[in-house]
Amino acid sequence: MGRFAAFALVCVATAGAQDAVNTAARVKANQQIQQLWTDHLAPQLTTALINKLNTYAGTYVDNGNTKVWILQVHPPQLSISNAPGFTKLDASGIQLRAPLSGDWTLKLKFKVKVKHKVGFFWVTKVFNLTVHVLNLRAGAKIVLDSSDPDAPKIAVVAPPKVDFDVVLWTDKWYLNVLSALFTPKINQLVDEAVTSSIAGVLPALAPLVGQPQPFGTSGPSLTWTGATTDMEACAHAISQKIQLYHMPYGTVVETIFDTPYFGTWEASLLDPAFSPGAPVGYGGFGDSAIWSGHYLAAEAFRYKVTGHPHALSQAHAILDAMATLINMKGTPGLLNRAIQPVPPFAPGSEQYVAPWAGGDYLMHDFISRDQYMGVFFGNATAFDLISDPAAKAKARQNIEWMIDYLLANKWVAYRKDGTISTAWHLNYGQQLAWVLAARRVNPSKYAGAYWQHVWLSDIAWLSPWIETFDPVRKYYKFNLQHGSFYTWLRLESLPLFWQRGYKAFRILRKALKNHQNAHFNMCEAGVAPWTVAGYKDEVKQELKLWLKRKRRATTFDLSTDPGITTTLFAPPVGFSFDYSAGAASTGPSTPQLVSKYPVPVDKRPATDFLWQRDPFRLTSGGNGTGEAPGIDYILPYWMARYYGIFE
Amino acid sequence: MKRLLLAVPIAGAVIAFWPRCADRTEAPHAVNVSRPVAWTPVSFPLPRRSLPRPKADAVAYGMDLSEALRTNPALADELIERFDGDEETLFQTARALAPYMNESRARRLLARPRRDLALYALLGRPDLAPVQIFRSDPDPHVRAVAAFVLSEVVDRLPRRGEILQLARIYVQTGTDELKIESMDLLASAGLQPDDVALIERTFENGSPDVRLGAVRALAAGGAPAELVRNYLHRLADDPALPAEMRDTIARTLGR
Repeated sequence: MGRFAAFALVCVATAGAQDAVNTAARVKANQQIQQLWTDHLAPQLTTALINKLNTYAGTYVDNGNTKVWILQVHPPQLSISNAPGFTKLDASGIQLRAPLSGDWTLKLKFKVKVKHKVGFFWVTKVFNLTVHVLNLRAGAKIVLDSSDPDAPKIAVVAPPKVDFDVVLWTDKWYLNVLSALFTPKINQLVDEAVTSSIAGVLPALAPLVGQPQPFGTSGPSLTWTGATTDMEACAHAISQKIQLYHMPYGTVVETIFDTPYFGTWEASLLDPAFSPGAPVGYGGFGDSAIWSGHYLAAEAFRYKVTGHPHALSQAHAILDAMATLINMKGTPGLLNRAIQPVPPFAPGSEQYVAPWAGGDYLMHDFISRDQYMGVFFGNATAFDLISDPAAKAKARQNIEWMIDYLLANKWVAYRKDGTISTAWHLNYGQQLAWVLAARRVNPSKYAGAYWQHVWLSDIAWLSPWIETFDPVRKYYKFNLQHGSFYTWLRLESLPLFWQRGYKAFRILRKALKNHQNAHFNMCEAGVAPWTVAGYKDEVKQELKLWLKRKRRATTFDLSTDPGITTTLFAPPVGFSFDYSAGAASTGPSTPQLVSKYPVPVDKRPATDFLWQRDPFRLTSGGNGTGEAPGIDYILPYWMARYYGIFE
Repeated sequence: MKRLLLAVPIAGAVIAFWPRCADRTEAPHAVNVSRPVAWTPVSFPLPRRSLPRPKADAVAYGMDLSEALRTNPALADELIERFDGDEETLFQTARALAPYMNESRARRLLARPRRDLALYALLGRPDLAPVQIFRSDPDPHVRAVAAFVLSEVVDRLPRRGEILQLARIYVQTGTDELKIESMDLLASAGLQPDDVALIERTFENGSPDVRLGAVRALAAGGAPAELVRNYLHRLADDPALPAEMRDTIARTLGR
């Protein structure tokens, strides 16, 4: 859409025709789904159907007086070029239709042998049978109660609808007469079977009514009890130790030391007598890109607040490492997860070895949205907070490499064999965030991309809203959302679209209210400065308690801790979608024992980045030798300093 | 040598220098390593005495404004007098002003042109909620932004009763959309007996959408279950509603 036409739509929408933005959003979303369908899902579905049908070749059904052999399965003819899509997607409800327009048809052809007993005789016929499925279409609908716009809930789940007609055809005229006579009966039987199947699904959908529900949001609020150590010195010390121990090959990883330590960060960071031991191994390479991105953001804030040269040199080191990650697979913009020379590393599952800069390196074939999120977030933050022109230029180049790859490949990242590794469809907040980051670093080059995507603002609530159905498991999804929303809302300057993004962000924030998460709170403070005053006590206390955590991963179990109330948690429906298989699956949700309210920050288990872990977990494992970098302290600390949490 | 500080004010900041020592006992930032002695500059922002100049880059200008206001909140008054520019600049300016608004500043800011953008400075401030604008501004777009600003603070509104009274008026006089939104607002606050009667009357006189909205508000607002059920039966038999919707409601009722 051209910029002029886009402005015209803005004017219409601003004048009160809110539907114009929603319609444009749905059109864009359906275009993206159609593209994915045409390029990947329809061919995958066709292949899967062919494979399934081929399993019937040579099969035999014995029904007493009738025996049927499927001698051969001919290649099916499918007319499924139109993709499913949204016919409605707003605060009052969601409707899906498959296909979005028209119908699908399937023509399945089999060579069969039928042996039928008539009296004392067996009559055998061999013929080609064509099963023609016509007018195939399906629909699903939910009605939303958005009387609280920050917490829409499902009011009604309508039973899914599936309609189609079946016609049987053979190469024998007399059988065709028979099949014509029986077609209405056959359709009736099939309809009954489909209706029965749908009825079987309904009990699984019933628990969705009234969802999503918050979890753990009614715990006590935190108050600031005063500093017990020099928090800034601790932050500088963590940056020093990241440089010394956590960047063996350029990006940030976890470190294993030869001697265990069971004390806290606070007790060791500023203790001149503390010796961490010698590094004997490293871990967390699979997530090295995302945490390196968060580390870059932390150093960017540190540099902005203090002007410390170490912050700038560290930022440059990470910016350079990211340029390597973005290019080392041989396709600029197709990200690698870590820099790992071969040897000492050897390829495992979904990894291969390829040359880079005169050496052999491990390439992670499977790349995820998580890693891109960290690298975009870090570079976009560095671009705005580091005044050094050389650093800005590196951040700009890194962002351009990645966005050029994603736009050229229509929001799909590929494996080496051409299959989908990950895709951004339905993740409209991330699309907008990364396009805005690109427009920020190169406004003229990416103005067109901005106007093509900005309409998605209106439906960007969909992904975070769906994720709030399970506010405990896979909590890292909320970290991805916060980094994306922070980047998007920080950079969006048109109020019409910012307002829609902020409404979506509020859905996320309300679901996680009082989860005692310093990083998430700072992301909100960054985009909504009027919330800073309300977070001052809480964030300072969270950071103080962070320093009182065990420095190393150790084993403990809080389920018997008298200060912690436990409960069983199970989300209403387990759901996952596999892009490579092109299939969705639901599964039973096993209840798990968790804390009813967020565990105090100082008691939470050691992990790579604390704020991406649910605050309700009760157990931790480790022998006191594995140490995370500590980015989960320095990022929210320097953000808090920049946004005025500390006076 | 402990901490030798040399402070030099440069470009709105104090640049301080201190020595970094090879002896770890004298360098609290050092972690288990001996480092060469070096001078570490650390800047401390001084309160700004003037506002940053407007930039073509609205995001960068917004960041500059926020940083200036954090060091000197009094600059908000001057910024309000300078509330001028294109839409993106004004939007960034309003967001930067938000933490520093008070009643006097809000009054002056809303007297400037582009009230729709000035309203973003009132986000998150229930004490400054733009009820009057929501009530009577002649520009529907300004009222819509006011509604957005109000929605963020509706739980904390000191003049909640006034808003609810306004919602009752809109239920009677507004467009269908406004009637439905206003009934939802009443429901979210919990329905009073008079509200139930008002929504019942609105159901009788309303369009199909309004009738649906009325029943939803009765259900969400805590109206008696039997009353809600009676209205659901009426919706299930309502020929003006799509058959699919009627079927869904009938199934919900077990019919």
